[in-house]
Amino acid sequence: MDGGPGRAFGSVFIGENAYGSRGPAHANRKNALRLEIEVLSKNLKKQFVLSLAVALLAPLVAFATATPAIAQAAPEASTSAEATTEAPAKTAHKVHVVIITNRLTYQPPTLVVHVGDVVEWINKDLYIHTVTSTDGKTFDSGNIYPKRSWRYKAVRKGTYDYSCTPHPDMKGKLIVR
Amino acid sequence: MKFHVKQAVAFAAAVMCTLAFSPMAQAQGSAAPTDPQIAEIVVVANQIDIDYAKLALKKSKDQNVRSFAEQMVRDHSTLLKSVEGLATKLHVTPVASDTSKSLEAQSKETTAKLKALKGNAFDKAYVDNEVAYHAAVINEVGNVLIPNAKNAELKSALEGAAPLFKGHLAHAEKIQASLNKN
Ligand SMILES: [Cu+2]
Repeated sequence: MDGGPGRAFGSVFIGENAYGSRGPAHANRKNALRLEIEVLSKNLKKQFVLSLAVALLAPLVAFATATPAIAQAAPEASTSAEATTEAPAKTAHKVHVVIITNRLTYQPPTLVVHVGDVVEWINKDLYIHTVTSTDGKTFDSGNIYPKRSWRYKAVRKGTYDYSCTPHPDMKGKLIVR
Repeated sequence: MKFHVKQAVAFAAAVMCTLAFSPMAQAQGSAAPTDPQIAEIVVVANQIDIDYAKLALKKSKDQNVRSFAEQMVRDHSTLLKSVEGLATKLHVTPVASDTSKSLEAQSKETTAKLKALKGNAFDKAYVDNEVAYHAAVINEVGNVLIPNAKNAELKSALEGAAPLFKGHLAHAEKIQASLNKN
């Protein structure tokens, strides 16, 4: 149950999928990697768009001084080029917070969210707790240390009961609509 | 095995009747504990569980049992620290009582029995004892320590610790059920 110190600290981790028995540590790394790649490719694309814009604009700029028409052209180009990568980020999903209290409860004990929303569990207790779906596969935070939190992105509709591995009488429910 | 029977009786009694039949309650007698005595009982009770867990970490190879024992060391050490911190803050110096002495004597006996066991037999005896012990502690805290605590902060600290013991009991019972399947 309680993994070693290598297991999910979770404060920056946003889980996206069911990772099953592979565990959160793996998921964590995988996600971190994916995030990095996403950021990298976004930066590359931005750079590409920028240089493209510069390349296209340079002759024009050389020709004439800036006109409003040119000033508008650049942002337009960049918007269309980035439309596919930017779209998910622009859809603002809600972030919900569940507090793990020093009375060993999840507050609120039942939470209703929509697909795409993010839930953040904040451990305000002195002890390590987990957020572990009782189906044994949908999500498992691993150890959430005191004053740390763990985030999960709801991807699939359903009702998920969860509990704390070290304190199995701590129970919560996540409903994804 | 005598040990098992004794623990099973202690556990059954603690759960079925809310009658206080436990090492602690037996020694309790009629005298209500004072705050310094309550503080010492809590300190001793924590230390005993840490020691059982350390023994389990030496002897057990079962991953669930080891994880549980690691958690007991961690959680009870944290609790012990906060109790000691509170006692210092409140200028309450823990004082031994018949209850705390009986707890220590009982744990010596249990430790000797556990030390003589190996493998699966050890795992089962350790976890059975954890179930019985936490049930007894919950009983003691709820029925004796909290009602008798004079200092409001001490009382509320005890009330705050109760859910932790219940969590440990639930965890121990879960492992107990899985060990009994094997
Ligand atoms: Cu917990």
